[in-house]
Amino acid sequence: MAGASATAVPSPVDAGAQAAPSLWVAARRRFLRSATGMLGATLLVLFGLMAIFAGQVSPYDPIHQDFRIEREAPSATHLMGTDEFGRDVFSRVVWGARVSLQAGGVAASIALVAGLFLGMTAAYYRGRTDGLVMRSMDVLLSFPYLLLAIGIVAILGRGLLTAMIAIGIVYIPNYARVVRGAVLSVGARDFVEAARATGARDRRVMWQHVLPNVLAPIIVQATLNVGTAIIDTAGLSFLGLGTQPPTPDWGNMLSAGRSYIIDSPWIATFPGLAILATVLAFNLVGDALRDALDPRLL
Amino acid sequence: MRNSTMSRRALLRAAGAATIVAACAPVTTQPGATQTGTTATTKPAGATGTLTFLWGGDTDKLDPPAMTTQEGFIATTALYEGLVRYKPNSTDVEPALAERMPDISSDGLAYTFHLRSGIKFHDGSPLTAEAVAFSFDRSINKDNPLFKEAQAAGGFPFIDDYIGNVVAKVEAVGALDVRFTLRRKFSPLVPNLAIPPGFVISMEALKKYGSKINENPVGTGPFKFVEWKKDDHITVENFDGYWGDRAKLQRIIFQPVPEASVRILKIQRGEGDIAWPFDPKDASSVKGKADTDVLEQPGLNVNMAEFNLKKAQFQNKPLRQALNYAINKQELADKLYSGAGVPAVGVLPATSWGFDSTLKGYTYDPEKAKALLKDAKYGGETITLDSYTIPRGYNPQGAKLAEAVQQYFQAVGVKSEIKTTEWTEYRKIRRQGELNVAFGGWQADTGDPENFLGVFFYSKNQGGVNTSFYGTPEVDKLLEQANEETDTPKRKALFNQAEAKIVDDAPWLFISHMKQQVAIRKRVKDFVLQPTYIYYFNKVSVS
Repeated sequence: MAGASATAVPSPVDAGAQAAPSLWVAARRRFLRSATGMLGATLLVLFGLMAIFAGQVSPYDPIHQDFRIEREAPSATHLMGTDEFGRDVFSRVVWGARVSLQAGGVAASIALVAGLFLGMTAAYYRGRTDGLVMRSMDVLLSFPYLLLAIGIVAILGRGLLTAMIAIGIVYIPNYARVVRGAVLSVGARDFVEAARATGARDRRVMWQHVLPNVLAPIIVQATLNVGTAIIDTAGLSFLGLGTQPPTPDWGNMLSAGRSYIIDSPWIATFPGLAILATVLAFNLVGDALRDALDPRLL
Repeated sequence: MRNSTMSRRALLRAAGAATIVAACAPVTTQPGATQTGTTATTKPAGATGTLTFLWGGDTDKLDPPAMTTQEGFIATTALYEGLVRYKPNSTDVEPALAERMPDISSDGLAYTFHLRSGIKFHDGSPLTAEAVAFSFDRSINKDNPLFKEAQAAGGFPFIDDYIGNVVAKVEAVGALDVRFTLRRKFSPLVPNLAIPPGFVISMEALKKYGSKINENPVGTGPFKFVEWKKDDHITVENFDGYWGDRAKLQRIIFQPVPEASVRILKIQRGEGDIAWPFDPKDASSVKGKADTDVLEQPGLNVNMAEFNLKKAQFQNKPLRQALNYAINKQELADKLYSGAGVPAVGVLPATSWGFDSTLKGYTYDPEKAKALLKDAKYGGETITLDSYTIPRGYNPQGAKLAEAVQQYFQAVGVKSEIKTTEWTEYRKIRRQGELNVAFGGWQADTGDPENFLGVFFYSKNQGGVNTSFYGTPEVDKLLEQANEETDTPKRKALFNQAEAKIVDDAPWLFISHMKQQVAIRKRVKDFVLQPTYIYYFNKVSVS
C-alpha cells in the first residue's frame, strides 16, 4: 500500500510528459528534498511492509486467547503487553495495520474513482449535468461525515467491507469538487480546443488531454484522504460498526481497551499510537506532495 | 453536550437548595409570600436531596407491562406499585396496595384482594377496585381496545408469561375488592403481581393517554414522574400525596452512562450516587473507600446463550452438548468476570430455593466435546454467534463474552462468526426467531423457579422470553404440575426434574451467574439490595 503511493509520484511523469515535462521532474526533486515528506514516506513503507508480512513479523497468533496471561504489562515476551483476553497486543497491532491500510486505501480509492468520474463529467458537459451532479454532491456534503457513514452502514449492514464503502461514498464530493475545478480551468485551455478541433471524441479528450493535467491536486487529495479514511474506518470500528471481533483492528482495539485505560493503559495506547503514526505519515507525504506539485511554486 | 448536562445539574442543585431553604423555613408561612411558588410550600419537612442513579443504557419504555428492561423495572418501581411488594432483600411478598394477602377460593381459582382505602394516584384520581381491574384488563384482555391500541407500540411482550396465560379475568367485586379468576391453579401468581407487569396504572390516565402512558406515567408510587429525556435522564420527584410513609428523597435522577468505567469514575467523583451495573474488575477502586463502597450479594440471575431451535442447524442435540463441554466456565467466571461470576451448572443459581445440588451439568471437557462433535456429524459449518453490545447485569462484559466463547469453540474445531446487534433491535429479532446462537440472560423478577424455568422453557412462552423456542410435552407437564402444586418441597422436586431434562437437552450454553454488585456513595443511607433488582427508594436518603 505504502509502496504504491511512494511510486505513484514518478509514474505520472511519463503520462504527463508531453504536457509539461518539467513539472513532474521538478516536483520529484522537490519532494525528495523535503525532510518531513521523506520521513512520512519511510514510515509508510515500514507500515506497508508490516502489513504485507504480518504473518512473519507478529510473534503470536493475534486472536489466540489465553486467560492465564490476561492484561500483562509490556515485557520482553510481550512487547506491548497482552489484552483482556491474554492476546498479544503487538501481534494485534501488526495485523491491525493490514486492516487499517486496506480500509484507508480502499475507501480512498472508491472516493477517488467515483469523484474523478463525476467531477470530470460535470465539468466537461457543464449545464444540466453539472447542476445535477454538483447539487447531489452538495446534498452529500450537507451531512456530517461520520453520521452519513453510520447511516450508510445501517443500510448496508455492519462489517469492514461496508464500512470501507460507506467511508468511500462520504468522501466522493471532495474529489468531485477538486476535479471539477481543475477540469474547468484546464478545459478552457487552447490545447483542449485543439484536440476537439481535430475531431477527438469526448472520452479521448478527457482521458488523454484533460486528465493528465488535473492529476496533481488529485494525488495530493488522495494521499491526505487515505489518512482521514483510516481514522474514519477506525471510528466506525470503534463504534462497533466496522471490523467485527475478533479480527484485530486498531479502532476495535481502542474501543475494547478504553475500559482498561486506568489499570492497563497499554491495551488502548499502542493501537492509538499506530493510528497516530500512520495518519501522520500520510499527512506528511500529502503535505510534501502538495508543496512539490503546487504550480504556484514553479 | 457536557455543558447542557452541567447546566442541568447546576439547575437541580439550585432547586435542591431552594427545597432545603423552604423546608427549614418556619411552618407559618407569610400569607403575602408569593415568590416561593406552590411547590415549595407543599414540600414535606423530610424530603431533601437528589439521588443520581447511573446505569448502562436507557430503558425502552416506562409503561410497566410494555417495557422489557431491568432499567425500566427499577425506574417504574419508584413511580408505581402493585397489589403486593417484596419485603426488604427478600423474595417473599407483603401487601402493598392491597390491605392484606388475598383470600383464595378453595379450588384455588379465585384470588380476591381487598384494597387499602384512601389511596390516590399522582393525578389525584382514587385507587378503586374498578381502577385496578381496568389496569389489568388493558394488559391481559386481548379484546380490550387499549390492549389493541398498545400493539402498535410493541404490545405487552411478557405479560402472558407472568399473568396473562393463567388469569382469565380481573373484575371489581366491591368498591375496594378485586377478584382474579384463574384458568388453572397457579401458585406463583401472587409473587408475580409484585413485579412491574403487575403494577397498577391510573384508570383516568389510561383513558386519557392510551399507550402514550409510556411518556406520561401515572401511578401511586412514592415518586411522581417529572420528565424523561431519552438516553439522557429520567427524573422523578417526591409525591406529596403518597398514602404510606413519605419518601425521604426529593428527587431521583436515573441517568444512562454507557461506559462502565465512566460510571465508576462518576461515583468516585461524586457525580453519581449509585451505579449499576459495572465491570467487576473496577470494584476494588470503590470498595471500602472513604466515600464509596460496593454492596454485593449472590445474584438471582443467569448468563447464557440460547440455541435457536427453530433452525435446523441447532436441532442437533450432540452438537449443543458438545458446545457446552467446549466452554471453560470457571475461567470465564474468574477472568472475564474478575471473580464476580459463578459457573452455571444448569439454569437456576444456587441462591434460588429450587437449586438442585445434585445436578451435574457440563464441566469443561474439550475431548468430550470433540467426541460429541463426531456424533453430531459436524462438518465444519460456520456457526453464527449473535451478541448484544451493551453490558448487562448478568454479563457486564457485553459482546466480549462472545469473543471468548468463539475462541473456546475454535479450540475444539468449531468455526464461528460473531454478529453484534444494537440492544433494542437485538431483542426484537430474537423474539422473531431470527438469531442463531444468541447471547442473553435473565435477572429473576420473582425468585420463584417458575420465573427461570417456566418463562424460558414452557412451550407457550415461545417468542416471549422463551426465545430458544424450546418446548417438550414432558417439560411442559412437569412445569404445569409444579405451578399447580402448593407444597414447596413437592414443587422443588418437580422443578428439579424439569431442569434435569432441560439441561440434558441443552437448548442453552449454560455459562454463569453473576454476583449482584452496586457501587454506591456512602452519603446514601438505607439503600437495600433486592434479589430481584427491583429496588425500593421509599426509605433511601442522602446526607
